[in-house]
Amino acid sequence: MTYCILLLQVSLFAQIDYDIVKEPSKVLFINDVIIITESQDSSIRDILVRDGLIVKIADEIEAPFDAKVIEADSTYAYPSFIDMLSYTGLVKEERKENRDRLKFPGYPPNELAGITPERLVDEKLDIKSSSIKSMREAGFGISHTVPKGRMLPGQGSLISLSGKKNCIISNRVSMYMQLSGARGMYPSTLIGVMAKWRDLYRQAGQLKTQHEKFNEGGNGFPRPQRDKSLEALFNVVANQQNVYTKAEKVKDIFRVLELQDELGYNLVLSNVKQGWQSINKIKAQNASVALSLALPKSEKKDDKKESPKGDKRKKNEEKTERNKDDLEKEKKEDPETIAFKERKAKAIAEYEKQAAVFEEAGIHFGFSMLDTKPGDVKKNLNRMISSGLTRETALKALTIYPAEILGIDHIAGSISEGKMANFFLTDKPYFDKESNIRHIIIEGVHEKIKVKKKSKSKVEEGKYEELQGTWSYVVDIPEDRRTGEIIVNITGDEIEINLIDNQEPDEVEEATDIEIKENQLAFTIMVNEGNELPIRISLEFEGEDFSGTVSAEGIGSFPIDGKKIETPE
Amino acid sequence: MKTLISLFFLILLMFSVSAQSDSGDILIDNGTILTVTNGVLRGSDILIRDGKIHKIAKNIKPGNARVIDAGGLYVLPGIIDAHSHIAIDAVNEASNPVTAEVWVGDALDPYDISIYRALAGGVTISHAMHGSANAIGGQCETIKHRWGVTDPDDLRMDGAPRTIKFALGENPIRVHGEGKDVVPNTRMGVEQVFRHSFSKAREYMIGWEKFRNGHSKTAPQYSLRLETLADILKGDIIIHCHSYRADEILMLMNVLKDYGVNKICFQHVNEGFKVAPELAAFGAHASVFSDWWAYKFEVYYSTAYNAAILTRNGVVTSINSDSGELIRHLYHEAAKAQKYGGLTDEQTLALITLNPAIQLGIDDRVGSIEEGKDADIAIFKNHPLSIYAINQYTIVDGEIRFNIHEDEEDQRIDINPEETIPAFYEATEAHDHEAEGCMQGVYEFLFEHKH
Repeated sequence: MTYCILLLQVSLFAQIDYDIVKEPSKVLFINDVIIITESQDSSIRDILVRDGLIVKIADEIEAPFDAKVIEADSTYAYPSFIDMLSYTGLVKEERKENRDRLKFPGYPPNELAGITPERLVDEKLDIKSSSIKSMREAGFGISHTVPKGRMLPGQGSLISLSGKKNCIISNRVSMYMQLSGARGMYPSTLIGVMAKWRDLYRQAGQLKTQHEKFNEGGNGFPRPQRDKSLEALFNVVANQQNVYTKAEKVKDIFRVLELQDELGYNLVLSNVKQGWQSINKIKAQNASVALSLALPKSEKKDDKKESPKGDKRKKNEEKTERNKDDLEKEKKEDPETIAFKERKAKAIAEYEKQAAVFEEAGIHFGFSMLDTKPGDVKKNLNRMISSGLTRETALKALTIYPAEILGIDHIAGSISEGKMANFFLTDKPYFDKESNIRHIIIEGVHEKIKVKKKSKSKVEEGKYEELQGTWSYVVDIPEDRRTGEIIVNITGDEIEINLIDNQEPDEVEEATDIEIKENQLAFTIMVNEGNELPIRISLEFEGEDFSGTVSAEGIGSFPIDGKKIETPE
Repeated sequence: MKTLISLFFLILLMFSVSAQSDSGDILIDNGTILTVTNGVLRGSDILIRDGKIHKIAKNIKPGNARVIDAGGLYVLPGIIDAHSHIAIDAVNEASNPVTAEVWVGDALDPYDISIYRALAGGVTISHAMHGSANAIGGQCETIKHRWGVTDPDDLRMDGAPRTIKFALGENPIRVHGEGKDVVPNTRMGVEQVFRHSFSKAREYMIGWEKFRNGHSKTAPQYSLRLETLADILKGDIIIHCHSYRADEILMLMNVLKDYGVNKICFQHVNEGFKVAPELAAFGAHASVFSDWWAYKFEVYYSTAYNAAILTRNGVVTSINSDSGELIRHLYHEAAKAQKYGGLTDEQTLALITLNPAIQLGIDDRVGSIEEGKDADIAIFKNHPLSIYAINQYTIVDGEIRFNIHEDEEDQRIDINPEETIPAFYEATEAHDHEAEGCMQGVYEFLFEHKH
C-alpha cells in the first residue's frame, strides 16, 4: 500500500528518525557470539571492535573499560552482506526526459543521449536515503552503487551503509553500462547502443594512444582533443576498470558476452536473472557474475505470505473434492490455460534454480539488489535454497565472493581480525524462516533492531463474529482515491486483519495494534516506501457498512468508508 | 505391467526426441526431388551426413540413417526468404538518416516463434533486415532457422556475406524530413544522403591510408559508420535497397556507378518491370512481392507480372515475405507469380530457393539440392506450387527442425515467468505492412517530435 500523497508530505514535514544510529562508539565488545563463517562453520567467540575495525576475535577477551558491551549470548554473527550492484543511497529524482525537440536527433550531445561515463554517484548520494536504512536492515553493510541513466550512466562507488557521513569507501570502482537506448535520439535502440559502444570503446583506445604519444613529447605528435566521455573510458580500455553491464535475460547476456569477446574488456554481467543457458560462454570468457536477488512471483502458497484469500481458496478446493459436479467442471477447465499454468510454473522453477546451476558450474557469483526489495532477500534466498543452492554458497555469494569480485576481500566479506567491523547478529540461524536480525554493526556503528510485534491480537471469544469477512474500502485523499479490501479473520480469541490495496493487489499488509470495542475497530498498517510510516485506521461499523478515518501522524486524517463484500460460512 | 508399458513408451519417446536432434545421418527415401538446378528426380533418395547433402541416387542403403519415407512426397531445397524481419529484437535505429554502423545481427532472437512458423512453411533461411526508416540503414544478418538453439549466435549462417539495408522514397523522407526536419526531405535529398555518405567514407579511407603510410601523424577519429560505408565501397557488403519507383531505382544505380559499387539487390522494387533491362545490364538483383501493393502512394503502380517480367529480362529475381505471416507460405506466393507470368516450375521454385541464395551470396552452399550443399530441405505433401501443398518436414543443416507429426500446441522455448495470460490470447497487432515490417519501431520518431 503506497499513499503517494502522504509520503510526499512526510518527506516535507516529518523528521526521519536517525537517532537510532548512534555515533560510532570507538570500542565495541561483543560477548559470546556464535560466529558463522562464510563456509557456515560456527564457533563461540568474543569480538572486539575499535575504530570501525575488528581488532580481535578470541575465546575469552576481557572487555576494555571503555567498551560498549553487547551481550550476544546465543545469537549468531554473520558477516554483513555485500550488494554487488544497486541504486542504494541515490536521491530520488524525477526522471527528466528531454521533451525539447533536438535539432539533430541523430547527433545529440552525450549528456542527453545517456552517455555520461565521467559521472560519479557522489553528487547524487543522500546519506539519509531510506534505501540505505532498508538495505542495512536486510543485512547489507556495503553497496556497490551505480548512477541511474541509460546507456552509460557513469561510474560506481562502494558505499558503507552505516548511515554515517563519509559513506563512500571508494569511487570509480566500476563503469556501469546498460543496453538501454535514449528516447527519441541516437542511439535509440539495442542495436544503436551496441554499435555506439563499439565506437566509443575504440575511439577511447585511439584517443588514449594519442594522449600517450603527445605526452612522450618530442615526436611530432600534435596535442589531441579533449573529450570527457572518452577520457572517462581510458581505465576501461586499459583493463583497469570493470564494466558492469546489466544483462538480465538470456538474449542480453549473450549480447553482452559477444561485445566483451569482441572488444576484450573486463566484464561483470550484472543483475542476471536468466543466465543458465549461457554458463559455458560465461566460463569460457571468464566473465564475473552478479545474479539478481529478485525472482518472479511464486505461484506456490508456501512462498507467499499466508493470505486469507489463499486460505479461502484452499477451503474451496477441499470442497471441490467432495463435490463431483465441481470436479467435472474443473476437468473442463480450458486446456490451454492448464498448459499455460504448467509451463509458467516450470519457467518459475528454472529462475529459482539459477543460483544452484551457477554453483554447480563452479562459478563464483555475487548478488545484486538492483530491483529486489530488501524485505524479500531472505525469502528469495530460501526459494533458491529449496531449488538446490547450498546455504554455504548462498552466504558466500552475499559476502566473500562479491568482496573478491569488487576487489575488497582484504577489508570486507568476512568476520576477521583487521577487516571492517561489518556484521549482524541474529536470534536464530539466518536462513531460518523465524530468524530476526537483532543487532547490526557496520564499521563499528551499532544499531539494535526491535522485533516487530506479532500481528495477532486477542478478542473476546464469539463476540465479534459479524466483523468476520472481507470488506471493501474507499479512502478519499485529495487528488487520490484509494480502494481495496480489509479482511477480518477471527479464530477463537485471536483476531487477524489484513489489508489489500487495489493498486498493489499482491501485497498483503498485516495490521498491528488491533483494538476492538463494541462496533469500533482500530488498527495500524505500516506503509513502506523506503521508510516505514504507521497509518492508523479507525472504523465504526453499522451492519454491512462502515465509516471512519485513516490518519498518519503529522499529515492528517482522511475519510474512509466501505461495505461488506464477503462473509465466511 | 502398466508401469512397464508406460516406461516403454517413455523410452520410445526419448528415443524419438534424441533421434530428431542428434545430427545423425538421415535418408530421405524415394521422394520426388525438385532439385531446382538439375530437374526433377523421381523415386530418388537423398542421404544426409554431417549436415550436408552427401549423396543423391536411387536405392541408397539406409545403414544407420534415420529414414524418412518420402514416397509420394516432394523434396525441395529449403525455402529462402531474402527479406524478413523475424527473429530480431530491433529493426529500425530511426534516429539518423545514416546508421550504417548498426547491425541487426546484434539483436537476434532465437526465441521468436516466427522462426518455427517459418519452418512450418519450409523456410530454412531468412535475411533478417534492418528496416527502411533510414536512407542508409543498418547491416542485416542471414540466419538459419535452427529453432531450439538458445544462443543468438547459433542462428547466424556463418560465412554468409555481409549485407546492408538502404531505403529510397517515402519512408526515409517521412521519418527524417517530415518527422525531424533534417535531410532528406525529398527524393533528391535521399540521393544526396548517399553521395554525401560515400564521399565521407572515401575521405575517411584516404585519411587512414595516409596515417598507415606515415604521411600523417594522426588518423581520422575511428568511426564504425564510416568503416562500414568504406567496406561498401570496397565491395565487401551487398546492398539490399528498399525501393518502389523506377526513377529512384535508376538514380541509385547511377550513384553506385559513380562510386564503383556494383553489388546490389533491390527490394520490393514494385516498378522493377519498367526498368528490367537496365537492372539486368547493371547486374542488379530484384526481390519482389508476388501481388502486394497499394499500401502507400508510391506503391500503387504495381503488377503481379513483375516477377515474370524481371525473370524474362534476365534479372535474378526472388519473392520475399517482409512479414512473419507471409513467410509461412512463400511457396504459395511463388505459385501466384507463376499463375500470372507463366514461368516454368523450375523458374518459379528458383524465386524462393536458388535466386534468393544468389542475392544473399550463399548460392554455393544452399538454394538447390546438390551433393555437397547444406542439407537444408523441405519435404512437401503435394507439389509445393499446388494450392494443396502442405509442408511435412523442414531440415536445417541435417537436423529436422520441423516435423508436422510432432507439432505441439505450444512450441515456444522461452516462457515469461511473469506472463499473466496464455500467449495464445495475446492481442496481435493488426496485419499491417508498415507496423510489422520495414517501419517497425519508428513511430516514436514520426509523432513524438511533431508538437
